[in-house]
Amino acid sequence: MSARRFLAVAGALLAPAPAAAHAIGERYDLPLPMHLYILGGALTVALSFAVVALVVRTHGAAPKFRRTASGAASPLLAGVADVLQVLGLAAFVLVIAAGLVGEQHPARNIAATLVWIVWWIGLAFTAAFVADIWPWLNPWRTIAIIAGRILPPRAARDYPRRWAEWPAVCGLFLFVWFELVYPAPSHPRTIALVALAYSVVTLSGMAVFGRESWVRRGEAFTLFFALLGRFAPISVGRGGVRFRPWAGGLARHTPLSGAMVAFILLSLAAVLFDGFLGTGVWRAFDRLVRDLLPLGADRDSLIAATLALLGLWLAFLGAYHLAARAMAWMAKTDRSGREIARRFALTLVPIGVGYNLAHNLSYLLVQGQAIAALLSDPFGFGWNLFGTASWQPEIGVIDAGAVWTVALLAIVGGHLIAVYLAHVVALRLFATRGQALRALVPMTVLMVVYTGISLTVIAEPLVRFRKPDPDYTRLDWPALHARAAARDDPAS
Amino acid sequence: MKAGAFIAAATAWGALAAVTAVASASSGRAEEPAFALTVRSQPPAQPVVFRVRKDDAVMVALSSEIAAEIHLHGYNLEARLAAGGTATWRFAARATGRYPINVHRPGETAGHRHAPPLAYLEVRPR
Repeated sequence: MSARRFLAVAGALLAPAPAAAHAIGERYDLPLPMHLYILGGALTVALSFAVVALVVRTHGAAPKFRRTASGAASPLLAGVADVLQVLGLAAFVLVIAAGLVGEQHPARNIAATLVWIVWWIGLAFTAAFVADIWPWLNPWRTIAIIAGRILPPRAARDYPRRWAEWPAVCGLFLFVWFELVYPAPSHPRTIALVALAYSVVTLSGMAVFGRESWVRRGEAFTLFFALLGRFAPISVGRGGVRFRPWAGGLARHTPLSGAMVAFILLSLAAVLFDGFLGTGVWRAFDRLVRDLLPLGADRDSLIAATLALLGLWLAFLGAYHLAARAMAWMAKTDRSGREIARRFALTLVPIGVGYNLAHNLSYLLVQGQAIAALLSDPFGFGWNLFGTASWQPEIGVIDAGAVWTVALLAIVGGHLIAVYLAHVVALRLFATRGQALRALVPMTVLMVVYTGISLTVIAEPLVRFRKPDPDYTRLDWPALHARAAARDDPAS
Repeated sequence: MKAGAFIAAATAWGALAAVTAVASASSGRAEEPAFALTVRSQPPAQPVVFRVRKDDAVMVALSSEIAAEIHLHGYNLEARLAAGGTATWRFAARATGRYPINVHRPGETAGHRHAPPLAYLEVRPR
């Protein structure tokens, strides 16, 4: 690397980040300031050991998570389910219709805001902090239920066992690629076409293999929201509404499939990738790829961003499998690293939940307001159905100081819960407490690394304030005064 | 080491956090910062960053060497400048955040991500 190239890369690392944003609603977050970044890192490490000290030394055995059924009246629950199904289907039809026939400016068409902010971020929050209601909102499932009532019954083929959850892994990867790599993810017609394409795949999958068996293994969003839903204190299912401690749904050590492990690590990489695109590391990588390729070959950073997304996921996955092997070795157990990886994967989810809250809270609160205006004029035709068409998002709803506090608590708290869950699983899995403790060393180190990355992405500690370039910021006071005078002079 | 020691350490970190938070939230009076921003045919190598504090009365004097639309996101201020034109933004920095200032040239496709912004306005909490 030449000295000049090196300086260019170093400069890029230190420069303020151009945030990669959707063309609708940009992010206005201020990065976490340095003292909070350092505090977060220190808390992460210190509290990890506190968990060891408190949980493992005081509890002889693994703590039990109790679940309580509410005994909620099932007619009420059925009513809520019906309403959500109608809502989900209506929103789906609206996105397709607005995308195809509406005004094509992303901010004046409801499609982009409804999909990227209300659904993708808003529903992820709902799933993680209230309950996973996607099985009901899921328009494709609703369509299949209706089709099942109208069409004559047909025999479903057996879902191939070795496919496992791989169709959902592919689906999530392509979706995240569309969200964060594809250059125009907010273009309304593109959104409608992508939704239609995904409908073809999903409806075919359900037609061939049966509705529920495709939904459970092939439908990426069902798996994604269900994963977050395991963190939530409420679970809804056939047995009615159930309450459990936070993250109680993640304290399981029944082994997952290898595909599901890949899915969980992809989810972690996916929530982090948006923030990653705002860092100096990404810009240096982008520049490197641009320099290596022929001139203009990667104008939209498609190649660089695809490689980065794939690389981040595979690096996360590789590091996790490596840690699992180290756990097997440390515990001197006859369980394989692969088996351990499959039993501990769920404990990583709170790290993703914490980061997601920290990264998207102010974005959702500020840009989510745009939906009020868009509901009045969903197609951008100049309607004003509810009298709210001219509403502008209020940018002052949440102060940066409050966001920083929540972000710090969310990331450190998510980490703490993850470490705690790993302890619970280890105590259940291994015969002796010594084994469990030794096995937890690599896992805790890995979790500290993941959390460190989360904090770094949200704080951008390498960003240093640079004095504005004088070529672009020279203030010409005499001219300014002359202009002000001319404006104030009634004669001119 | 005992559990108590870890709790003590955690508490110490918490106290430190509180102290730093209070120290950094030193309140000052609102100021009236003024900046100038010039649009040239070549964008700057790095986006320009203006830093102000919440509730400051900000003035930005804009000028352009080319025909351009300048947009301060969030605060939603716009200026349409002809080549050689000038304009001034005056506003109270009522909300914290980091707001991009973009230059839109005629003929840009909607829906695409913006090119890196010309500048950022950073409004930090008091």
